Amino acid sequence: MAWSRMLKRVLTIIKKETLRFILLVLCACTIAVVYNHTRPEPMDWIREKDPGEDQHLSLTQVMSHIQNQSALFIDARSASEYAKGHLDGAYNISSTEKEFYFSDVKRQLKDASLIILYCTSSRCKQGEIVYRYLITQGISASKLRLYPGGWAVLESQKTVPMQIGEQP
Amino acid sequence: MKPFLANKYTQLLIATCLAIVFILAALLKIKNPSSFAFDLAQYQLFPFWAINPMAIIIPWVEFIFGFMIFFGAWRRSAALGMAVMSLIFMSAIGSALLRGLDFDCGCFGGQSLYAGMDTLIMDMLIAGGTLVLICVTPKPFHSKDTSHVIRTN
Repeated sequence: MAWSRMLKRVLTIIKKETLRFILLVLCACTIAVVYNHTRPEPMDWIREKDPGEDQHLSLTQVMSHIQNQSALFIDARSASEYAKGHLDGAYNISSTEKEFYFSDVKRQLKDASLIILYCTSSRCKQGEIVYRYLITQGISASKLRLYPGGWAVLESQKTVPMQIGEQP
Repeated sequence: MKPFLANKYTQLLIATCLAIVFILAALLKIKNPSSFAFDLAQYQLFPFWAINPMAIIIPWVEFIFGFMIFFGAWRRSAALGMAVMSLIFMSAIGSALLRGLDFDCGCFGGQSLYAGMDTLIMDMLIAGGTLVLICVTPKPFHSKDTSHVIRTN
């Protein structure tokens, strides 16, 4: 009984407040449009490509890119993890000091046609953090990919060229 | 419980907390809409053409609701809006959890708050707070409530 009374009350309130609610949403939309238009770098209304749609690569695809040397690899783990062993030719952009590392490889990133990021394993977050950071730094999302298996899987593949040591 | 929730100071406290959360979340997203667009895409729920318009508009809707609640204007309408938004957020996070997706929820503009049970609970608390503002009419704390007085004559 109390619930039905409560529901009735909520429905009455919703009926009464809907017009104001719509007005508030319209007001917010107008401000959003004007604000975006006046920003120094307005955001495009239509997205070119959805990064969530095809950002993840399978092991087979990654192995093919390693063999053909057709992509630039970014190791998003910490510098100490990178020094212990990484994919030969991969650059290190540690997620905790990404600003510092980014300036070193900015040119290579801009020139690359495909960039593949990896971190420790499928549970790590560093790859996604660096992925997001690179987008905000003007690297096109369409050429960024993530390998979710991470170094844990790559390391276990016998054909993967490995290198030990810090980034020069 | 109801007299406590109807107390104007309780309502003021709830309204202020909700307003701060919404305004803060909105400002962080407004500052970096591309990061928020990335988070929205990670949910894999929305068509790609809708991502950018959503990333541009949603933060301002949040801001307006927070602003109205804070200044007490059209409070019920704004609370209704917040309730609708928190329900949408809860559904999105719940669906991501069910599908086993693991990513930043985008709640505070890329502040590394992962879509999980804690963000779901946070949204539930927000929804609860908005329901209080919608359903319970505020009354002054010192209003004379004589319902508990037993009549002797």
